[in-house]
Amino acid sequence: MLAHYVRSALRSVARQKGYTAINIIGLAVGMSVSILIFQWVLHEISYDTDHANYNRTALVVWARQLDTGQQLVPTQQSPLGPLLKNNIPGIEEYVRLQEEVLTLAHADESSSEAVTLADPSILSVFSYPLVRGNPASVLTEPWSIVLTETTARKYFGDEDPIGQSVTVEGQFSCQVTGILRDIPANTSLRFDALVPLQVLEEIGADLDRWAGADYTTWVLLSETVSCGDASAAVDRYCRQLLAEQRGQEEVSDSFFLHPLSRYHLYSLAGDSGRITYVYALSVAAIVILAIACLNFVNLSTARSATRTREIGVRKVVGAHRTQIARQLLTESLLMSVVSLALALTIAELVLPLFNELSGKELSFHFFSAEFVALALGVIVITGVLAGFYPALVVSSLRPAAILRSRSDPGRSGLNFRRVLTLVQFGLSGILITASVVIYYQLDYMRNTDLGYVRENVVFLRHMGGVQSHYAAFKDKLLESPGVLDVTSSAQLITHINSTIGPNWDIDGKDSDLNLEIHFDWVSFDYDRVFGLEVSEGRFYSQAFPSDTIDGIVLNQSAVDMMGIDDPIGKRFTYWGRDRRIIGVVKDFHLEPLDESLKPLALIYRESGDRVFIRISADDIPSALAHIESVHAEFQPEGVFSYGFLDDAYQYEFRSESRMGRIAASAAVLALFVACLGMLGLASYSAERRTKEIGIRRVHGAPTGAIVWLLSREFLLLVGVSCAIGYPIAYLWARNWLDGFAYRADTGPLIFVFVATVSLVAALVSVGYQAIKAAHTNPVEALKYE
Amino acid sequence: MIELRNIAKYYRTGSVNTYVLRRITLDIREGEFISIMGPSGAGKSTLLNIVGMLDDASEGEYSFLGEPVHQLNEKKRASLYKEHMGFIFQSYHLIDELTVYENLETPLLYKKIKGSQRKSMVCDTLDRFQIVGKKDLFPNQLSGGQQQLVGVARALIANPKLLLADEPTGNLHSAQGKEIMDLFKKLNEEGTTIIQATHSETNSAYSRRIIRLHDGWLESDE
Repeated sequence: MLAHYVRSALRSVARQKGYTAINIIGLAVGMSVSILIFQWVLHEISYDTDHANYNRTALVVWARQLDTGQQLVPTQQSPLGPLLKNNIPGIEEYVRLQEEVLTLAHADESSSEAVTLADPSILSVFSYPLVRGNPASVLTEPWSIVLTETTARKYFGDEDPIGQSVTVEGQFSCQVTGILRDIPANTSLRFDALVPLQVLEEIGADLDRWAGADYTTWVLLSETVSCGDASAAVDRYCRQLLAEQRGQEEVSDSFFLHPLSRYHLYSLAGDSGRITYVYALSVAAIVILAIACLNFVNLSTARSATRTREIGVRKVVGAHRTQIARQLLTESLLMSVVSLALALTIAELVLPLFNELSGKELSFHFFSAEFVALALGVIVITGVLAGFYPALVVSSLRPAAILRSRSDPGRSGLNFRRVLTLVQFGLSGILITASVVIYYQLDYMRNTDLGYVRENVVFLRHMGGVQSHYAAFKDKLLESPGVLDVTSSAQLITHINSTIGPNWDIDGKDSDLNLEIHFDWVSFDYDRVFGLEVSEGRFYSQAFPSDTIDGIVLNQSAVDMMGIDDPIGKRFTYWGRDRRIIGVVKDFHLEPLDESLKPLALIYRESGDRVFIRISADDIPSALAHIESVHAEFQPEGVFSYGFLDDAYQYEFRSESRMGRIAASAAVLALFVACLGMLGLASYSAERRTKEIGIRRVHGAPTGAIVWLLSREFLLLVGVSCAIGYPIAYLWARNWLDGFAYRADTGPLIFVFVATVSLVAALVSVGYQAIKAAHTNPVEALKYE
Repeated sequence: MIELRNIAKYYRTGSVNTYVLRRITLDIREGEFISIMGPSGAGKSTLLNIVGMLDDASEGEYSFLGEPVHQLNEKKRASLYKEHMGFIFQSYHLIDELTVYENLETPLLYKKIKGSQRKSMVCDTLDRFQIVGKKDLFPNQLSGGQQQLVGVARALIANPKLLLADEPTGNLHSAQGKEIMDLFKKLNEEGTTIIQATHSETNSAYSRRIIRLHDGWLESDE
């Protein structure tokens, strides 16, 4: 019997090639999109699960209460880790990390690598398996280094790296003590090399001193304690510690643990992060799959109208309803199997493209249990869903009614199909609107005026020896006409997050004021390189030698929040150093996505870790060549690595722009699938109405009228679906945009745009059929009647 | 074999009922060969469809081999039909996607007859109707007469007690029509009960009883 079903299915599929192609391609495209997206989702939720202590590891977070709002700090002061381990029973182990980008060198090879400085416990708290070396001893000696396999191969080729030395930053020599297996892509904490944190003590730091909160501190909880309890214990302990240090009764700051299991997907605040993308894309994948399934159902019912005669005959020769239903289900399952095969092929082919789009390196494991389960699930769900309705409807028809050939079976289920089309276009309209909104918002964020100029600013990633010859280096750079201004600072202007702390003073300071003043070390011409506007006084100037000794430049917010009237010449003291205010710069944003304006002090230092060079837009290559040659002159061994400030800024939005691109691709494909369905429906509609069109033609209807007759229903459907879909998309967009400090204006123009796109797409898919039908010779059309 | 009591069939159009059949009372015994005649729209096909259980009567009682058909559920009715009836149409209604062989096989598949037995039944039938040479052809490769021959063969393959034929020769040349009617006569002589709806006096001459319908009324029964 099954053989008979399959045989009939294959024959009927072969008989209607166009229909079959539309149906299978539509479903395959929908499936391949959802397969790709679900692969992405699986990859996202698999982050860090390779760590054996996945469920017991957590990050210590410090929630600072400032007058300008709460600040979540993921790094702690160095003595905290050991104290937590010794004083809180639920905490078994701690590990402190500092992530750096350092230049490693061996023989001829020299390049910058992600180097993590860590306590030796990193190898027991986290699971980074060693290929060579003993985890208990590889990080015990300060001047040791552990490389990943890839890094080791890069520097040592086929040589045995163990016991060899690697030069770090051109100054220090570290001995290779172990080799790590390469870190899988779904790991949050990644690095090319590990160096013991202890090495900092060798170069003058004191890890027992309460100094800058610079250390990412992870703790390993015992199996008996819950993360919530441990978090509460850490909070109590750290608050008490902080209160003692500050000599206060009570502190408003708090502490909590952020579990490793949430680290990748959730922000520290816990309410957002990549999880929103995971949800959004899962929804998009399901929606596209749903659209493709609706298509399948739609076309199958439309086609079943043309097959009712066959079904009637089958009933007449004795087929029971369930047998008919089974036959139709076999057909749709067969089609969905073929679609899946095609979908897998498509997915495999576009995987490199998808990887580029998503910034991942996904690969398929076709024979993994999850994949087979997923594939079977998709087949059964789509096959049954798509086959069920036609099977139910068509199999229930009474044969006498079907075989009375005058009746128009094509009308059966017409409203059902209309509703499905409505839903399809509604859904794809929502997806398109969503992706347009995301695009607008990204565009808006990228181009927001943050109060400084990002364009044509080059920064050098590594100062190396240049720092000690900064003045000469700067003069040499300025010799080229392509180099306009040069300055130096400690931080990137896009991320100024160092703060002075509570230790500042002015005349007549309000003692209740708990103001966190940000600062950066800056050199001459900082204002010119970044186009900062000096609203009062002047910036540090070589014409006033005293500026660099006792001057200070603040921003407008600092002056306003501290309540200094007429600031020029007033006293400002930080860390016990008295300065007088020489200038006030207009506010700019210290973080890209932070709308608040924060008080800032720009403190003079001859040179910081970074050099910023404003170059002329006229001839960028020659300016860069000049910078490189000057750099080589001052740093013959150093690596010349530079970046454009604007690129670095754009890089911040990489996950958003990836999302945007994925959403846009998904939306386009959703529309494509919906249009494919519409094409199929239009051809059935034209076929069904052949006689009507023939009669109209005989009575002199012009082509335009026929085209309109066939298209108007579809256009109306698309119009209505836009009208229903837009409010939903609008509500979503408002909700989504609420999460952003800067919101793009999403006016009704987007709706007009989406509606136009949908209508044009629908018109194109329907129009061809309509025009073809309108040009058919009426005699031809009526011949069979 | 068949007892019809006050069978009526109507369709609702707006608020009025349009009657196709009115109060038909009829008894048919096994072995009869009956022609239902009447002008277009008289209700011939409808009566045939009701007898063949392809359609339901709006009113009245129908019993087939003592079973009250109007009270049976769909499943019972389908199995009764499957067991005892064969249907032939004016426009043949073969399945276009299937070969002659497969078309003949289909009713047996639905009756869940085993593979080997099915094969021998199909082969016997092909033999009997002398269409062995056509078994791998598709319906559209056959002439009308040949298609109808396959239609008859398909209707008879499971040895039904009752053969229902709706204008079986309507689309055929007269020579082909005569062949089919001769075949009917032979089948009837072998014991199959036949009811055919027809316009043609020539065809009705083959039958032993003629029922005339007019506007849904039973006009004469001779």
